[in-house]
Formats: sequence, structure tokens, C-alpha cells
Amino acid sequence: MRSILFVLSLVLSSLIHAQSVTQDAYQVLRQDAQGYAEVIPNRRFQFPADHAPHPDYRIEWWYITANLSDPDGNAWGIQWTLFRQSLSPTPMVDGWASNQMWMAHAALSTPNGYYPEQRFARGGIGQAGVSSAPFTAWLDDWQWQGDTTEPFPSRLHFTTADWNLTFELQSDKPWVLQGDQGYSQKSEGKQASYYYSQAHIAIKGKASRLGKTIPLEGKAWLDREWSSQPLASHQQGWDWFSLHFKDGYALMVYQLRNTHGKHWLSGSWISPDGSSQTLKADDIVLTPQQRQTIEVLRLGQKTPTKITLPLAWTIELPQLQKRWHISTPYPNQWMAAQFPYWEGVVSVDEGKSGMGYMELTGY
Amino acid sequence: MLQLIKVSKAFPQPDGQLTPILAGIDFQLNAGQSAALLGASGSGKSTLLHLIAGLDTPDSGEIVVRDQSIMTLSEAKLAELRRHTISLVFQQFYLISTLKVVDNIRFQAQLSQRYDPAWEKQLVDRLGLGDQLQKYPHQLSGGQQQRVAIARALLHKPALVLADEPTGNLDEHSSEQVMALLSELVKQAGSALLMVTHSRQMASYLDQAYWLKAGSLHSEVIDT
Amino acid sequence: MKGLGLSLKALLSHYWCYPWQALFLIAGLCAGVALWSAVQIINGHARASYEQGNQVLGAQAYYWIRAKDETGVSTADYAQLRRQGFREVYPVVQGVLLSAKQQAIPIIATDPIALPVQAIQTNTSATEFNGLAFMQAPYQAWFPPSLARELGVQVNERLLLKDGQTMPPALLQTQTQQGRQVLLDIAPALSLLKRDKLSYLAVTQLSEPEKTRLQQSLPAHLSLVENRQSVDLSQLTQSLHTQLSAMSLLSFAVGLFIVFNAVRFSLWYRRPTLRTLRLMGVSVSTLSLAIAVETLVWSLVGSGLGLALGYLLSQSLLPTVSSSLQSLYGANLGSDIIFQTRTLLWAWLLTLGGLILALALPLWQQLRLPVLPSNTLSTHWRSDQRTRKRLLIAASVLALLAIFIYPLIHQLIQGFILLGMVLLAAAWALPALLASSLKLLEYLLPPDSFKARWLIRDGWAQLPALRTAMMALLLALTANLGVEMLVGSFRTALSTWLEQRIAADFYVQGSSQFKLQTLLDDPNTADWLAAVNERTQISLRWQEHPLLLRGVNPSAPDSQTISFTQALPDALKTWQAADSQQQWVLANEQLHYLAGVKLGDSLALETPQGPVAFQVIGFVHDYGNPYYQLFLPNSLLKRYWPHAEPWNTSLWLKDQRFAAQAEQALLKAGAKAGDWVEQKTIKSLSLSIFDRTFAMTAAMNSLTLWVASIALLAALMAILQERLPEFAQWRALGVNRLEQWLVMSTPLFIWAGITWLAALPLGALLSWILIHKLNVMAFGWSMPLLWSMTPAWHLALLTLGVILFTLVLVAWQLRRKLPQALAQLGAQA
Repeated sequence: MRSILFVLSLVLSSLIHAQSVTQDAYQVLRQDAQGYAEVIPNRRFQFPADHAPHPDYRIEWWYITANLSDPDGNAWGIQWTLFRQSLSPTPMVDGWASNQMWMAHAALSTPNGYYPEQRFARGGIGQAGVSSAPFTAWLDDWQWQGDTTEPFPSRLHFTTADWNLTFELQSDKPWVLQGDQGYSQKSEGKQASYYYSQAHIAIKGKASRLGKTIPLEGKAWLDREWSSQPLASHQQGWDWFSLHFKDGYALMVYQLRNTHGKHWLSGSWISPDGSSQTLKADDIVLTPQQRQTIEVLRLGQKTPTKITLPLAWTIELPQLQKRWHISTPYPNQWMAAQFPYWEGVVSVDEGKSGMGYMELTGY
Repeated sequence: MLQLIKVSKAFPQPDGQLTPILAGIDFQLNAGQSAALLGASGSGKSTLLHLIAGLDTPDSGEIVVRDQSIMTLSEAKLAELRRHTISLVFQQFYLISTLKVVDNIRFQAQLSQRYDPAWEKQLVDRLGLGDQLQKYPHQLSGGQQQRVAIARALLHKPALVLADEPTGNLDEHSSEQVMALLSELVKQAGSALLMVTHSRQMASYLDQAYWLKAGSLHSEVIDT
Repeated sequence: MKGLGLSLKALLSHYWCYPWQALFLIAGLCAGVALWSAVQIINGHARASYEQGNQVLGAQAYYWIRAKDETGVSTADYAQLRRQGFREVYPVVQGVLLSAKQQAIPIIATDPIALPVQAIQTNTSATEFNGLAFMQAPYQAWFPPSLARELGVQVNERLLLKDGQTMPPALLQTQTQQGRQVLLDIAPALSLLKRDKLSYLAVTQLSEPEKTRLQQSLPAHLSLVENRQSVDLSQLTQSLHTQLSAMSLLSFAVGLFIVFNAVRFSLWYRRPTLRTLRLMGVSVSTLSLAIAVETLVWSLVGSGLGLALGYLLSQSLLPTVSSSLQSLYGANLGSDIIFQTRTLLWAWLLTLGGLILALALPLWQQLRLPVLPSNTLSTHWRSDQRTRKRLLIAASVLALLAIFIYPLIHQLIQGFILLGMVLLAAAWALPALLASSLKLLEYLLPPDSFKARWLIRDGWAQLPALRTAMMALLLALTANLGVEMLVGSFRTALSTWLEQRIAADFYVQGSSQFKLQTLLDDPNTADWLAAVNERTQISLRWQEHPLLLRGVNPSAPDSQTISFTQALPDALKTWQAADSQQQWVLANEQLHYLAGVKLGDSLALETPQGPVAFQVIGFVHDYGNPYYQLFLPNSLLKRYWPHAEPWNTSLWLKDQRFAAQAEQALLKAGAKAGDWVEQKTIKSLSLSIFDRTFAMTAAMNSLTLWVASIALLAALMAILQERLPEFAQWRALGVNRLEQWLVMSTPLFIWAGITWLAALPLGALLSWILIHKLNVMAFGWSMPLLWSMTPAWHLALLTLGVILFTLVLVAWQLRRKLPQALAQLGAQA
């Protein structure tokens, strides 16, 4: 779900003057799905076919985050995201006249710094895309390459700043269909998406820079989501969490912040074997604990801006009698893209219970 | 005030021969005095005046103005002398045609930084130029133009006024008027006046008269 | 300093009373500075554009990736390079579309999101760049405003093309380095051009290891070429800019004549003022200082106004220059003009220099004299005679020098110096010529006629005043005639050459899908096709210059009638045979004149098999081509460059009535509508390019003539002012108006006539130098000089018109002022 912002960024991509159209971009998210395929319940997911793009739908993404550690036990993290958008509800054509647009965000979180980067490409000419046989997702040389038609096992390669990153990803657990069998409702209205995840991915690889190579290892998370109208008119932003616990369980929780009325909460509790339980609004208590002011550099600006974010939270699942404190070791994980957001490594109970990723948008 | 000692000047003729015009002239004029210089055409009256004004140099002799010999003065010093000490009034008026009458009158006074508004008013009134100040010289009659030239020459109260046939371009009536005014105002200004004229009538307005003949100067008693 | 202020007031009050003198002074300064600075601004602007020549649409392109066979780069190859991580690479499509009205529309296209620039910049802040609209149907076509005006395209209009397609809706805005091209997204560009390949890939800066990696990653059919556009453009266009500069300096010189006249007159009139000032005790040094201040003021006013005017002028001239540059060299000029400090400073210094030149001499003469000089008319005349004599001597020396250096001239700039010397010598000799005409008149007219004597004496009185104006007129007439003749000769030569070169009925583009073999295989083709010439082309670099190799069919009709400018014996036959051991080629004369290649010389060229020597057997005209070019039989070209692709194919019909049939056959053979052009289209396109190229020259030319007319007018007005009292005296003496006009205008007409006559041979000489020295050195094109009296008659009429106009103006002034002058006559008597 977190990646709804992709649409924002796409519309606000380098092609458009960021400041002047920020509000309009939100509007695009809330646009009627007229002409595009609609998200309806009871869809049967088919793999590996559903790993490939669904160009009938307006937006879609392939979203990897991973919590990693170096040999000294320091926390590292990566984000690698590929976004697709159909610019018009016309049938997709190949070549330069294609209506498909691609965008990618990548970031590396290290104990010494945060390195984000964004890229754009048009569809139809082979510069970016997702294909099966074998499974490949790419934009320029940012590549996620499967050995088979399935996304795992696979290799992920990308660069950000002067870091060169290569990883191997493995998973043998079943796909988690979020919401109601993959139908993920986003509001009381008909805003919804198709949403499936893989929470149990073993990741291993290395980060190199200036001739120095650091081996990294950890757990990754994949989200796949596509939709045509994911956001309601009164929804302003969201807070999203994916957590890996030391006992092998995993949790996904998000809230869509409404400008008035109650926020829309949802999530899933995933067992070590990959089976999952959907969490409804009543099952989750999400409370911001502490607001922290950080200095960020917005795109196109020379001087940093101050921004205040809820960087510490408590998550409670009363029925499961669980309560965790979420905080981040690295406050400045600000994706300074055309449309900026905070996305980065968080620890659960200061790392005693586990690690995870948090995404905060609309601040 | 003004002293000429053995001043000589000769001019070359078309045939290459030198013709002496002035031959050892001795002359003296005291402060506040006026003198007329009479002589026939070509007798060298104007040449003598030009020599005194530093516009030309004598072949030999000495010209002393205010105890200073002008023979050794540079062009700039001579200009300085004319600016502060000597005023010139000519037959052809020599007004600046592109400046208004008032600017013409004030010109030299401003140049020598001795502009005196009260004296200016007196001069203008006396010379009857009150209505002409905003006009250009060419809009004035000859007599009026000469009055402007006189006003200009006297406004800064120079020690010496040199006049070369100031009434030469004027009719008899105007001449009388201009001459009367000139002699009166020069006295008021306290200036010495040396005037070149061919008219005994005009010479009679002044204290003394001299006759220039064959290159030398002869004192003359004026019959009144 | 009191003296300085008062003196300045007295001196400057002159212009207050005679405002037209100030006007002419300003006019002269302005005219000179404006023309000069306009050209400087344009040149500076063009050079700045060339420095950005290595950029494509705002991004630095240090290299190109091009197909070795020049057929373009496939999208797949491009995507492959991007997937290998070469994000420095971005795609460019360039081409020319033909509008329904047969106008050529150059287009450039890229992928805005692959363009490695911070953000797409629009020069019109009013419209925000909407990338999605740019990249999605119906797309956008960004027209530079000047091009839109030229083509008559309105905002949002969809321009109809010859092949029936329409361009995307037009927007009037530009991206950096778009130049005189329409910017499109790649998708509509490829579809409008009916292509499926990119023209080339541009590459931004690469580190050495990255460059090596890129070279190794390139497929065999692509090559990485260093972008030398900027260097090439500077080299290629240098001559054009030198030519423009020379023209502008000529205008400046003509302007200076006006200034010289105006300053001289203003000093002359102010002699009484100067004298009175000195009588009142203003020293010579103070006066000099006052005049220096006046000069400074005039130089500032003149250069300021001149620059402002020049800026406006450059704005209106820029489109012609940029279209010249684009049609000749493919150079793209931006449309924003900026002033360079250098131009400002130079304009001021030139003005000041000109003024000092015009002021210093007369002032020095004036102040050197005693305060009350025995200045009679006769001494004035004597000094005038002396001046004439000195000018004549200087002119003779200059002319001798010019004759002496003529054979030594090898550089364009030296050529212009020669030109300047000839013109100046002619101008300086003119007063003596005018004076001798008076002497002749004196001799011819009855000596006992009082009126004749009067007329001649009056002529002598007018001569010093009119001298300078006549010199300016001579310069302007000569320059005008010379350039007219050059352009006329060139146009004739070009038309003749086009007749021979563009002889076929149809020309089919090489990049199209057209297959000649398919056409030839069709049994019906023989019914209508008379002959065919398929040409191929390869472009190389030779001696750091681009060199084109054109392969042609040696037996085609247009290969049979090649006319040589120089050739070895039996050149055509030997060249056509192409089977001998020697590799004979024809070369364009640019190679002869610009690179110094001589008949029989060998050129060592890089072929895929290594260097091969080609021998020049003949030189041919190749007007309009800025590059070196060799012509060789297709078989020979294919032998060394087997991958050479068709460049174009020309078809001769057996009869014009087969045209429709031929077009059908072309379609069948794979060509699409718009892939071929007819002979007449090419010819008219070529001639229109020619006219555009010389539009700037023509504009400068007529402006110079206007400046000279002002000079004449100024001089006559000055004479009038100076002599008004004299005219009044004439009137008082009973001279009637007719007699007065006869005396006043006869010398004027005689001298204008003499000046015009002198301009004829001088103009011919000028155009001869332009054609045989400068044009050859600048472009490497030679042509015969064609003498024509038509422009001479035009100029005669124009000069007559100017004189009549001036006389009417003078008559009107005289009528207005004479009564006053007469009145003053009485007052002063």
C-alpha cells in the first residue's frame, strides 16, 4: 500500500514543475478510474502471470525493502522500487508511442549515511519494464533478475550515489494475499487495490564503494500492488510499517490519514511458515509517540528545510496481546525525490524484538 | 597701470619686404584714466591695441600691465590676464551668438568670478538693456549689441578696458549715446580706458588723446 | 573650472540654436555604431551559439553514437546501452519535413525524460512545460517564434504536411540549442519522418574507463564519434562572420564621414564663439578640455543610442543570419540576444576614436591660429587646395600599396584590408577629381561670361563642404554596386550550375524504404524511365575537416555533362572508366581553394582497409556546400566502403507526361509519399536558400546607402546654414531665384554625376576583388563576374532622388530663413 505515492511522484516527475502542481498531483490520485480496469473483489490471482505488469490498470509497483546487517552487526537497509503508470486508458502499444511510464526509487541506509536516487524512463522501447521468462524488472541498469519465471530466486543489482550493490534473494514461502484474498480496500468507498506480498525473503549480498566491499545479510520484503483509483478524496497521506520479528513472525500495518473522521487502518500478521491473518481496524492500535524535527534538502533547493515527523510509534495488537515500540536508529532517511517522503530502517523495541521498515508520507 | 616701452612691430608685405608699423612707442596710462588713440586707417592703432591685449607680440620693446611685463607670459597666463584685468570692446561686438543677452553680459564676470548683481542692474539700467536680456544678440540692433558688449566688458570692473572703434558700426546718434555711456560707466567702474578711434568727436569724451602717425605717438590737446 | 563650465555652456549652446546639426551628428554616430554593433551582436551571439554547439538541447554532447553506414541507430540498440548502465546516452532524431506549401521544416526530437538536464527549460515562462502533454498524443510541436512567423504557424495550429500528415499542435517556445528547428517528442517525429530509427545517440561527458567500456559495449555496426561540431562550426562560419564584420566596418566608416562633416561644420560655425572666448580670457587648454568633454558627451550619447538602435537592428537581422547559417552550415542559433561588455566598450571606443579623428585635426588647426587671424577667403581656399593635394598623394600611395600587396594576399582578413585600401584610396582621390572637373568647366565655359565665372567661383566655395559628403557617397555607391554585382553574378552562376546539377526529374531520399532494384525489376519501368543515378555517400574527416565522398553512377546523364573548372586532359573519360589502377576522383573546388589541393594531387583517405590514396583528376563547382567533397564512381566507393548506403536516387523520365506513372511506380518500389521531390522543388528551394543567405548582405548594403544619403543631406544643410547671409546678399544684389539655384545646384549635380561615374569602375573592381579573392577565400566558390548596368542605373536614380529631396528641403529652409537673413543684412549695414 505504501507505494501509492508512486503516482504522485510520477506525475510530479522531472517533467513537471514540482511546487506548482503538488496539489494537482494528489488530485490525479483521486481521479475517477474512468476508462481503466476497475479493482473488484474475488479476483483469482495467477502466478507467475500476476508478477508481470497489468497495463489496464493505471498504476502498479514492485517494491523491495530489506533490513541488513554487516559483519559488525550494524543495521543497514535498502529500498528498491519500480513504478509503472499508464498515462492514458488507451490500449498499450509498443515503441516510442507507448503510454507506459516507469519510475524507480532506490536508497541505501548505512550507519554513516543515507543515499537515495530516482530514475525515470518511458515504456515501450525496452529501457524499463517487467517481463517473465525469466522474471526481470529493470530501469536502465537497475535490474532485478530472476532465474525462472518466479521472482525468487533472483539477483538484484543497482547503484546509488557511488555505491554499487548486488544481492541474492531467496524465498520458498507462499505469497501473502493482503486484505480479502488480495483485494485491499482503502476506504469506505470503492478505493481499493490488488495487493500481495512476500515477507520472508532471505537476502545476501554486498555493498561496494571506492574499492571497499561490505558483505551484508538479512531479511527482505516484497510488495506487489496495482490499482486504478487507490486514494479517497479526503485521504492526505499514510504511515506504513513492515516488521520482521526475531521469532520469525512478520507484521504489516498501515493507516491512511483522513482529513476528518477516523483513519483507515489495516494490516496482516504473518507466521513463520508464510500463513497470514488479516488485521482489521479494530485489531490495531497505532500511536505516534514522539515527533522529531530533521533537516532535509528538498529537490531544487540549496538550503535545508526543517520538517517534523513522528519517528517513534507504538503498535498494539490487543487481541494477540502484543505491544511494540518502534523507533529509528537513523532519523534522516528522507527520499528527496520530486515528491519526497520518509522511508527507512526502524527497530522494534530498540532491536530486541526485531527490525523493519517504515514509510511516512504527506508530511 | 599700463606702460609701453619702445614697442616696435613690422608686418611683411606681399613682396616680402617688412613695413614698420610701430617704431619704438613709449606710452603710459594711469589707473582710472582714459585715453583716445587717434590715427588714419592703417596707422597701426589696432595693432597697438592687440599688442596690449596680448593677442599679438611686438618685435621689440616692453609692455607692462599692472607692473608686470606681458612679454614673457605664456598663452595661459595671457588668457588669465584678459580674463581678470583687461576687457575688450570691438567694432564687431564679438558677442556669442548662441547665448542670450543676459548670459553674454555675465559671461566674463562669471569667468573671473567677480559677478556683482547690483552693479549689473545699474549697468543694464544705464545702458537701457532691461527689456533685451532674454533675447539673442541677432535680435538686437547694432547699437544695442554694442551696449551689451560694453556691459560685458565692465561688469567685472576690469583694471583696463581696450576699445577698438566701439562706435565704428553705429550711426552718429547711437555713437554719441554709446560713447557717453562708455566714458561714464568706465569712470564708475574705476577702470582705465584706452580707445582706438578715427573720430576726434569720440576722442573728446576721454581724458587724453594721442595721435599715431608714421609709427610714433604724439600727444594731442583736444579742442573742446 | 569655472572657465570650463562657462566655455562648455557657450560651446554647447550652439547645438541648442542649431538642433539639426546635433541631429546630424547623432545620426552619423548612430548610423555607424548601430550597423557595426548590430553585426557585432549577431557575430558574438553566433559564436556563443557555436560554443554551445557541442550541446544538444541543453545537454553537453561530447560524443555521438552513429551507425557506421549512416542509416541511424535502432531503438533496441539504444535501450541495450541504457540497460548496460550508459545513462550518459540519449536519443536524437533530426530531419526535415516538407509542408503542404513546400516549405522545409527542420525538426529535432528527443526523449525529454532521458535528456540528461536538470529540467527542461522553456524560454517562455508563460507556458509551463507539461511533459505528459509533450510525450502523449496529440503531442506538442515547439516552434521557435521566428520560424513560426516565417512559416505562418499560429499557436495550436496543426501544420499540414505535403504527404497529408499533420504536425502536433504548435507551441511557440524553445528549448536551449533548439535553434531554427521544431522540437518534438521522438514518437511523433519518427512517425512524421516515416522512420523507425534514431538519427544518432548523443553522449555526455565520459570518464576514460567509461569511454573504453562504452566502445567495447557498442555493437559492431555502431561507432563512437567525438563531437567536433563546435570546432567545425567555428571554422566553417569564420568567413561569413568576417564578411559581415567587414560590411559593418564599412558602414561605420560611412557613418564616420557624416560625423566628420558634422563636427567640422559645428567647429566652423563656432569659430566666432571660440574667438570671443579667447578674447575674454579663456585659455587654449581650457577650450581644448571643453571640446574634449563635448566629444566625450557625444561619444556616450552616440554610442548609447547607436547601441540601442543596433540592438533593435540585430533583432530584426538575426532571423536572416540564423537562416543563412542553418542553410549553409547547419548551425543553430538561439533566439535570445545578449549584449557583451566587449561590444559595448568597442562601440564606445570606436565612436570616441572616430570623433577624435574628426575633431582633433580641425581643432588643432583652429587653435593653432592667432586669436584674431587675418583670415580671408583666399587663405581658406589655399588650405583647401593643400588638403586636396595631400589627400591625392595619400590616395596614390595607398593605391600603389594595394597593387603591390595584391599578389601576396592569402587570407580573408588581408583581402578585406586590401578592399579597404582600394575604397579609401578612391575616396581620397575624389576631391582632386572634383576640383579638376571645376577646372575643366572653367576652361570650357566662356571666360568673359560673368555668370559662368560666378558659378565656378561658387563651386570652389562649395567644394570644401561637399567634399566629405561626396566621399561618403562614393564609398556607399561603390560598395553597393560591387555587392550587387557579386550577388547577381553569383545568382546567375548558381542557376546555371543548378540547371546542370539538378537535371533529373525525380529525386528519391536514400533513407526511405525505396529499393531501386525493385523498380528496375518491374517490367513496366522501361516504358517511362530514361535513366537513373543512384548516389551513395560516406562522410570522413580529412585534415581535421569534414570530407564527404559521393558515389555516383558515372554513366548517368548528369555525370556525362559535368563541367570542370580545371581538369587534366580527358578527365571525364578517365574518371568514368574507374577501372584503372589509379583511384581517380573529382573534387569540389573548395578543396582547391580552401585546402590548396591541386590537380593530380593525391589525398590519403582512411578506409576500413587502411589508408588509400585518391588522385584528383578535376575540380567542379559545388556552390553552397561548406564541406570538402569528392565525387567518384559508385563502384570505386563500394570497393573501399562496402557498407555505403544510398544517399539519393535520381530518375530521368522519357517524357514529362509519365510523371504520374513514375510516382505510382515509386510507391510500388517502397517509397512513401514525401520520399521524393521534383526537380523544380529542389531548384526553388536552393534559390530561396541562396536568397536567404544573401539577405543580410543586401540589408547591410541598402542601409549603408541610406547612411550616405544622410551624409549628403547633412552636408547640404550645413552649406545652406553657412551661406545664408551670402544668399541674402545675392538677393539684395538682385539675383533671382533661378540664378541662385543654378549656381547652387550645378556643381552639386556635376559632382554627384562624377561620383557616380567613378563608382562604376570602382564597383566593378570591388566585385572583381570580392569574387576572385574574397569569395574564393571565404567559401571556395569561384564564378565569372557578370557586368550589369541595371544596378548602376538604379543607384543613379536613387542618388538623383536623394539630391532632389535634399534640394527641396534646402529650398524650403531657404524660403523660411531668407527674409530674416535679409532683415539682418539691413540691421548690420
